[in-house]
Amino acid sequence: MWLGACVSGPKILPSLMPQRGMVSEYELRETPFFPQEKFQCGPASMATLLKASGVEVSSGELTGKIFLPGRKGSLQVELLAVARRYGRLPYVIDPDPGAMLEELLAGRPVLVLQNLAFSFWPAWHYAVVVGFDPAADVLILRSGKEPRKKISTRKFLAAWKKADSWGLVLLKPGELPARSDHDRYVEALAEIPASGFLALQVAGYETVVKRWPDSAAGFLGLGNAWFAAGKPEKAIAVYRQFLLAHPNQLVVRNNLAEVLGHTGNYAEALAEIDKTLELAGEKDPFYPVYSRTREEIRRRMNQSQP
Amino acid sequence: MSRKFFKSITCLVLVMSLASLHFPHTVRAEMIGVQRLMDAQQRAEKLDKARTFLQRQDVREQMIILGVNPDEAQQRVEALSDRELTLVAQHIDNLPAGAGAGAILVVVGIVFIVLLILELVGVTNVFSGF
Repeated sequence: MWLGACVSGPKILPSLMPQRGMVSEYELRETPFFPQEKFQCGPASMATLLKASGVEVSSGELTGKIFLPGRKGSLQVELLAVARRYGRLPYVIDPDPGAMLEELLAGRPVLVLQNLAFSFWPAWHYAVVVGFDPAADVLILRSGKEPRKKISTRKFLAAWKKADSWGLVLLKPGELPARSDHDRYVEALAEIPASGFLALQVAGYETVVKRWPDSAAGFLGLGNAWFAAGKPEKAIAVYRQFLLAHPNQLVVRNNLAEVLGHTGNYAEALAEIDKTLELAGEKDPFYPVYSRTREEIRRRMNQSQP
Repeated sequence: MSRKFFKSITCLVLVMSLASLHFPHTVRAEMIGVQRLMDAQQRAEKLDKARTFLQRQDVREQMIILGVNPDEAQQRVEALSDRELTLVAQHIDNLPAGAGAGAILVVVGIVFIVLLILELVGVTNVFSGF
C-alpha cells in the first residue's frame, strides 16, 4: 500500500506560535513585492523591507548598491550597510522561528536567507516572510518571482537552518525589536560607524536610555553620537547625567573629560580625567587610554595659550 | 636652572606648536566607543564566572588532588584572552549539576575545566611551589 502525501507528521507551526491557540491565517498584505531579476534576490528582498518600512526606493536603485556582479549575489554585510544608508537600523533576529513569528506579529516582514540545496553545495536565496497559516502549517513568502509563495513549515525550517537561521528586520530610528534584549540592541547600534548615520544613532541610544536607565553603554553611545554630530554641549550633559547616578563609570568620565577638552574647558577636563585615573588605578585595562586622554587635554591646553 | 636651558626649552616648545598648526585639527581623540565598553563589560562578567568557579569547594579539592595551587590558578585566570575566557565560561555553563550517580560527571567536568585553564595559562608555573 502506498501512503499518499496527505499523510504527514504532526503540524509544526502551531507549537512554535508565541501564544497558544493562534490558528488563524496572518499576513502582512500591504508588504510590497519586487520580483527578482536573475541573481538579484538580495536587492529585491531589501527593497521589499525598505518600502514596507516607509522608505521610497526601487529594486533597480538598490542593485548597484548591493549586488556584486562578480559574486552573483549579495553579501549579508552589504545588506546591512545599505539599510543604514536609507535611515533604518538593520537588526539580525535571534536564530529561531519564535523570533521570526514575533516580528511578523509586530508588523515587520522578515528577510531570511535560505539554502535551497545541499550543505556541501549550497544554493543561497534571500526571501521575505510576510505571513503564516498555522492550520495549513505553511509560511507565506515573497520569494523570487512569486508574490505569495506558500511553503510548508518543515521545508522552510530545513532550508533556513542550513543558513544558520539568519533573519533580518528593519527598525525605524528608535524602534525596538519584538524581543527587546539590551545587549543585542546596543550591539546593533554599535555596528553603525561612529561618525555615520547620526540621526539613527541618537534615536537608537535615546530609546536605550529610556528603556534601560542604568545602561552605561546607552549613555556612552548617546553622548558619543552627539559629539560626533557636532553638539559637544549635549554630549557633556548626557555624560554628566549618567555620572550623577554612576560616578564610578570611568569610561563615561573619560569621554566627558575628552569633550570638555575639545570645548576649551581645560580645568574641568583635567579635574575629570585626574579623578578617572585616580579611581581606575594602574591595573585598570583602560588606564593607558585615560593617560592618553590626559596628555591630549594638556596638549590642547598648551596649544591654546598665546 | 640656567637661562640658556629655559631658552632652548622655549624654542623647542615653540617649534612643536608651530609644527602642530600645520596638521589638520583631527587630533587622535581618545573617545572610547560603545563596542569597547561592551567588550570590557562582557569580559568582566566571564572573568567573574571563572573566578567564582575556582573558588568552589569541590573545584579546589580537585585542584589539590591534581597538585595544583588553587590561589595561583585564581590569579592567572586574569591573563586569559577574551576568546579563551569565553571558552572557559561556556564549559562552566555546561557543567552538569549532578548528585549521587551524576556526581562523577560533575567531577569529570570540573577536572576538564581545570585542565583547560591550566593549558591556557601555561601549566608549569601553576604546579610548582606547592
